[in-house]
Amino acid sequence: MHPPFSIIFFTVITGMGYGALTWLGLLPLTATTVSGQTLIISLCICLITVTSGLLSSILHLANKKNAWLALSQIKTSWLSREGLVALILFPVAISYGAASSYLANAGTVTALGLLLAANAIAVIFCTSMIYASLKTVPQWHTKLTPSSYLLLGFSSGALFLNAVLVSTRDETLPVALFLGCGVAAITVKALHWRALGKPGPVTVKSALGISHASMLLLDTGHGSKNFIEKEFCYDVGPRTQRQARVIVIVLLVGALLLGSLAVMRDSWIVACSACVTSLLGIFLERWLFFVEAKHVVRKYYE
Amino acid sequence: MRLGLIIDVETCVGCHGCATACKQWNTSGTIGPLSDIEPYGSAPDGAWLNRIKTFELVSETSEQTVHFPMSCLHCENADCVSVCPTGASYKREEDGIVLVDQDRCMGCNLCAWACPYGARELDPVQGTMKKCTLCVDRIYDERLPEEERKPACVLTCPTNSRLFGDFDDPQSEVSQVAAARDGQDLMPELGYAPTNQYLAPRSNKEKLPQRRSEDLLGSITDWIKEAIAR
Repeated sequence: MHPPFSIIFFTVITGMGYGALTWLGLLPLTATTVSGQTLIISLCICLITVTSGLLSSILHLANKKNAWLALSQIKTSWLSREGLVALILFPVAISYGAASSYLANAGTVTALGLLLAANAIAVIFCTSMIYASLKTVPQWHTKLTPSSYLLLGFSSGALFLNAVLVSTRDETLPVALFLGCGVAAITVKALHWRALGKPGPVTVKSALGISHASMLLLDTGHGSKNFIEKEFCYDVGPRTQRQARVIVIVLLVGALLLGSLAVMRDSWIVACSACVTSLLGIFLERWLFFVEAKHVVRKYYE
Repeated sequence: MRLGLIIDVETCVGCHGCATACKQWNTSGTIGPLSDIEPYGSAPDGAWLNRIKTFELVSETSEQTVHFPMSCLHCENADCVSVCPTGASYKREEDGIVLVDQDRCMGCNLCAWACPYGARELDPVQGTMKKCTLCVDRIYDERLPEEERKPACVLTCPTNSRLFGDFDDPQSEVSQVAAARDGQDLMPELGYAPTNQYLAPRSNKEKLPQRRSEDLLGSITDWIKEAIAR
């Protein structure tokens, strides 16, 4: 699949933002206590982050004036569902921020926090299901897609929130939190990469409905690349893929080490570089997610 | 009704007449225009609703060149419709034709991703998704003579390799031909249940059954024929 920059930026940035919002929502359940001011600052930064991601996704649209219709098909379309839960999150996040600043009632704050966390998880899940629901892309049509989207979101979100909390000189997140998520994310990603090698269900013979002979493409019927080839027949060499995978792992592991160091030293520079390293790793991982995906229509072009 | 096409890959000569007639009709039809970028340049680009690929078929008994026209197969389980976030893609209840409402499409490409057959193409100028309409603006037009109320590709095909009709009606030509010639669903394992059926080329073995002669002279003639065969 052709890797569109706007979509990769969108999934990486919103994954991190919603991951951080999940942890922000769960803060009342943990031993970490932050001041009302820090919470508001963190919420604002997270909301700005996810908004920039959502705006980037609009850049992908070829006919932007109809984007407002995108919430209309929540019965069947994961893209619609994603848009809807992403919009619902804004009032939920604002209520949570207001409640924790002005309300003493801990129960209400905890409930709103849980709602925010569930809502943020729902957005990442809907994003991943846009890809995982496509039967036409066997590499995406697996439970490993939502698993890796969620875990990478949680882990980068934890590093992001940690960077914000350390920078505001307030608190740090428990190291076990992002270490746990990070290791789980890397494990799931490794499983996903291992599963990519399996052949999909579709063969050239079933694609053409011809079983008695072997097929060889002679002519695609047109002189230059058409829309289908540009969109689906995007390839990089196996060596590039292998190198990119190694770099992804190095960056993700490096981010976890930097994050732990940041907590130990209480250094905002290290905490921010942990977050940036993790983002770079996930950006490359998302690029690979696209270029390693082989749409079944390629059977007609091979 | 379940309207669709039969495409006979055995008799198709790959003239691209269907694709050209399709573009000619639909560029000024309900979903038109079908835009082109640099149509006479070195790398023309544009939206087509039908494209023909050519394959070489190699089996033990034969080598055949096969032309394979592909357009929307108007699937029963059309994922392109269910993934559409704006409701622009829809499947008509009355005849099963899958269409795109050009006034609702936002050009997100998701339906093209969901289509296994490469039947949907983004118009490079308008930014909306274009696909085969089964000439919905023609097949019901009562101002046309009845024999012309067919998709443009079917009317223009010089070898009659394309048939149009109702697959729900067991008496229709398409149902009968599909049954007689073992019409194939493309990529049946994905479960899209395409309406359009493809007739695979019969192998030479099937066309020329080998028969041994009964009498002595016939047997000798067969033996000589085999000996001098290429």
